[in-house]
Amino acid sequence: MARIGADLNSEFDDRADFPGTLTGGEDPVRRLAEWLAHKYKSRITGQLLVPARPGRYAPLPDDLDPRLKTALTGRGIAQLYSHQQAAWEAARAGRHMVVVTPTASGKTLCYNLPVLHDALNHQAKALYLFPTKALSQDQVAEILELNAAGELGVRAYTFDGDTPGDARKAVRTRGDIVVSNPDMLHQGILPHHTKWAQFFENLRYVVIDEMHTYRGVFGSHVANVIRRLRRICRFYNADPLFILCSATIANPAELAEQLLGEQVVAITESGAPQGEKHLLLWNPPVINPDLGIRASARSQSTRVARMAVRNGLKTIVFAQTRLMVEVLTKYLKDVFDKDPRKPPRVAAYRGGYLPTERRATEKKLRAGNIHCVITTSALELGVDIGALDVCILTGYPGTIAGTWQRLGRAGRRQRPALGVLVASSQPLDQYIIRNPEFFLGASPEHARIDPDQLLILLDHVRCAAFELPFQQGERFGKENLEELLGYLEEEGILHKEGARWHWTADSYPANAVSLRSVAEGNFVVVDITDGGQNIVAEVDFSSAPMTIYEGAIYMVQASPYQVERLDWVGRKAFVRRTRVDYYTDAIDYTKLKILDDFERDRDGQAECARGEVHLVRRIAGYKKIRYYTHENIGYGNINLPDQEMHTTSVWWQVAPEALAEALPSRQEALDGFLGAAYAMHHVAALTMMCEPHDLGRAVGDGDATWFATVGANGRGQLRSFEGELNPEAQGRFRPAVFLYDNYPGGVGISAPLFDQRRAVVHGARELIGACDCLYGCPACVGPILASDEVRGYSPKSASLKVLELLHANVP
Amino acid sequence: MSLKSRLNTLRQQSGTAPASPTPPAASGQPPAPSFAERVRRLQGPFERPAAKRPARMAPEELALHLGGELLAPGVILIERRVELPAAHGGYALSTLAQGPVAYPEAEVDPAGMIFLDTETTGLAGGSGTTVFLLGLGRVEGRDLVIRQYFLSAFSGEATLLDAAGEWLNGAEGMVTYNGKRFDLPLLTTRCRLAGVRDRFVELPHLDLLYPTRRAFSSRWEDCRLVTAEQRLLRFFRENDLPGSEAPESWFSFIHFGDAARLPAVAKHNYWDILSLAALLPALSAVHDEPGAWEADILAVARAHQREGDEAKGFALLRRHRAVLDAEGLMELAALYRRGEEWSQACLIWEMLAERDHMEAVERLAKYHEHVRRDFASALRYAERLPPGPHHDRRRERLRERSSGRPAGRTPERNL
Repeated sequence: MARIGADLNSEFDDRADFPGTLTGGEDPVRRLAEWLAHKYKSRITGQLLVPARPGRYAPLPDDLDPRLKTALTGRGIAQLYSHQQAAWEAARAGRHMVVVTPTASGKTLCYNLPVLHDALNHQAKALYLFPTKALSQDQVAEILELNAAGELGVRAYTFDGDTPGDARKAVRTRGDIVVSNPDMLHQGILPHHTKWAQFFENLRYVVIDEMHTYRGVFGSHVANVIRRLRRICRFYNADPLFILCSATIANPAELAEQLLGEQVVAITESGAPQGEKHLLLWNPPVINPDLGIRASARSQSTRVARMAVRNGLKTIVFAQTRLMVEVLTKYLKDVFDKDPRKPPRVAAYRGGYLPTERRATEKKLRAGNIHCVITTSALELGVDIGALDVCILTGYPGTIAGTWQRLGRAGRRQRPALGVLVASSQPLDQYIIRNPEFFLGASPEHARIDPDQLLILLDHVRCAAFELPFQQGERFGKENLEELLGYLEEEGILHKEGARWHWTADSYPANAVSLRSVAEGNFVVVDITDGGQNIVAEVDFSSAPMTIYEGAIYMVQASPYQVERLDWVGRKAFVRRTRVDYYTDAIDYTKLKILDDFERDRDGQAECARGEVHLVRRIAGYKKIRYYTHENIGYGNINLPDQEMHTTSVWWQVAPEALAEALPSRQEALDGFLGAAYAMHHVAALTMMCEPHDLGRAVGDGDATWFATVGANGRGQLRSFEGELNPEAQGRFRPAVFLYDNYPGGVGISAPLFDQRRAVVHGARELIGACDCLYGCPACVGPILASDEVRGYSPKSASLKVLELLHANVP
Repeated sequence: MSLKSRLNTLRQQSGTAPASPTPPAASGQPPAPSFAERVRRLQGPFERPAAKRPARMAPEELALHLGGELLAPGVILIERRVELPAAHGGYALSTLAQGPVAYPEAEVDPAGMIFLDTETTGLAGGSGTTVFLLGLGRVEGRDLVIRQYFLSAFSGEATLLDAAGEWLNGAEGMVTYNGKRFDLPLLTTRCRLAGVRDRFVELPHLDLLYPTRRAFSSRWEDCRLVTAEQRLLRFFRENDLPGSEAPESWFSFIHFGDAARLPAVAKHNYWDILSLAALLPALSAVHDEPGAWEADILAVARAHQREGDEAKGFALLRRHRAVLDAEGLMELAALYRRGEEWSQACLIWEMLAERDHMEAVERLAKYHEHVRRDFASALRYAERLPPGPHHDRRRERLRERSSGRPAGRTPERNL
């Protein structure tokens, strides 16, 4: 108890001046870093100091257009960084390239130089693709500044959903540089390529920035959009050079080559100078050793943020979910924005806010008017928000690459910067934080895409066939194109005449294909408090069921709104401002049925298989959780349509007889399976180097008769959608752990996961076995309740028994 | 599993409908598709019983079926001549030969015009939409000649566009209905894809949808071509194939050789061209005498004014004063005011003021204050205006003026 008391008292010490004996010197970031490392020694499990690095430079190229030289000199650029020079030379040599350098290392010049040079000398046109509209606007502003400095007269325009109809023609016919995004290219440009004929005929460069965001499903779609783009270019006899830019990932050249279908040069050595960077790995203290419960990452993050802001440091706090952004914002606003007459110092920034609100926040950040911003991955990308000093990660972002990208947000001005990674009680976080050498030494993740995923490929073959008839012998992806075309012909949307397939349907296929997800249109959140109808936010289709059900508390800038009515068909949620002391969290059930198995591996009593599954997800209700105490103060029902998905999965089972022998109590077996699944899910994400939500997890019979879930009492329950079942009353009892590819049709995670089937079980066993807790905790088998001590067995040991059974005779 | 069954299963579950049901595969590795299965696949899901569907016609036979001739492989030309004395509905086509007709924006001679309308594979736009029937009309001597170019195979597209384009030689302009947004951009796209010179955009273009909307959007339930031809030409189609069925008619021909509905599509397009031709003089007459056609007189008058013929607009409003609504009357009064014909302007304002038209009341208040300097009358009108800072100031000023005190700040009584 003494430890807890000390901890509570220290909540209030963050305004203390730092003792002068520390060696941090005058720099406030360095002082804070050393103070934290000293004061909270027991919580810091790892430290890293990346020393400052001087720049490496090269003179401006001799063959660079003199007007461009003048423009650069006018902007104070008298020499290039070495990577900018390397990019210039690759472009001169006509080689596709990918440039991988940190934030603020001047990567935009890598493409702007060759593009502007050829625009000035050969009327060459360029297409820039950014993943978001906000980045496009930043980019155009930057080119315009350079333009003005050298009076270059190069015309750069954005072309996206916000471009007014009467301006579009001017962009098409007069733009030298058109800045757009993959979605617009897919739906607005390629299907209308004849209107862009002049542009395509002179297209010399395609720039794809933030390439690392094009992974998974989105990346697989984008690779196909690029296939279509190159096909249209060939029609106009153009063969543009591709310049891709990426944040650090393990396989930039491989990803670029997959996206492009061509070889690329990789430029990975940054010549830009870098200020020193301090990194602290922070594990919240254990506050209940029996339950293995640690103080929350949220409480630790707010504390570090308070100290940083009080010491005048500009701070960014990353949270894992939009909900957590709102909770953190509320807590920090309660401290720093108590006086409503003063302009706010704390702001939230996340997906779902309206673009105008986001732009306003970006502007305040650049101007230095906001001292602390709380955000999700929305600010991970290169949105220009100026210089920040401290970056706090509330929870491990799930990937090593993502962690470094977020940490890169601090220290842009070549000044010392501090990053603090605060672990949550999730197993992945605890694994990372207890094995700091793993994190500090590991390479970032591979970005995987599967451009030939059948459904995605079919979508784009359809779009491509609309754009230009396919010719016999043409290639598009790795599947047999003629067979795909035959399929579409059979559907009646293509007609083969001679050696060509013509589009014969009254439709516009690109409108039916969304690159980002299977989303079917965003929901808007409408505030009806004052009798009006103000749109206050947008929610994407996939997260709508979990966030804007009737009764939900939906937060915008930490102000709570209650959802009164959800118009599912009209995609609207009507909300009213409210004053409550709780937030809501949805409960979802998943039932799953095995349809077919592709491969299986029997190993003694254990069996592991991979195959196709059909799953139905139901959001059954929600919990009301009180602020600050986080106690559960009630439940509500949710009535929403079930969501179905067909995907591929790997599952692990034990022969019923062996299970009954090892775990005679079915209740205990159930708890064991749920705990094992919890640990296996997280270990699998780590092993596969994917993000945890790329995989779904379920425990059930594989026949959609029953599934298991943790009930309100902290125990495993056997359920059907109709209600709770008695485990002992079931017939043959053969539970399975499912880890499935969380995307319809799958994007290729299940096959490598099956290959790693033993490593996953082995890793889960290690994770649980090495955990300090007594009965099980959120860091190994998932949260358990205080009363679990009286179960007569511990969930932890039950989980270990299950894993042993699954592990069988592994050498 | 075959590609097809893989796709079908996936698409079923992801909520998209598969092409056709596949018999469930036996567990384990399904066998490669049987020959019958492959044949069935080749035949396609839309196949109807063979007995009901006539055999695919030979090209010459198809041309005959459509009343045309085979121009080139994949292109059938249907030509018809209509003698100009003929009537189209209740409208005499002879007007086409009576010299130029006027619109606010242009004066055009129907004899030099190309009337153009297309039937397409859809309304979505973009490069996947094909023009399969291109209908053109122009006056030759005493006839209106209609030429329809029908695409019977994709391979004929370049020839079709070239042949139709050549027939434009010597024309002075083009007339369409919604061609600015639809037919012309589509032809530009088709020419670009086929690698053919786009002669269609080269001609000056009058799109009759805009004059029609101007005159009738406030009068008719819609401004579709069929509405215009019924109302203005008294032409009522019998057994017309709805335009929305045109794509499907052509698709069943292309896929299965089913030419049954093609003559109806051609007939539909033929009527479109005839109506288009007749509407050119008819709509001009509407702009000359909108009252006679129950058109929106104010909108037409404004169009004349906007295009520089203010006198004509003014004259129209004067002539139709009896049928103008309040907005039209206010516009007429404004024109009178500009010409300082105060008595005429006041007549209108007073009539409207009786109906509590507040803008008219304000006009009268201003008129009496600034022109007649009759402050008492001005105040009577101003008193009727609704409260508000602007009107309050006017009332205050007028009270002072009408009671003989100079305008300005209220004198402080106590001083």
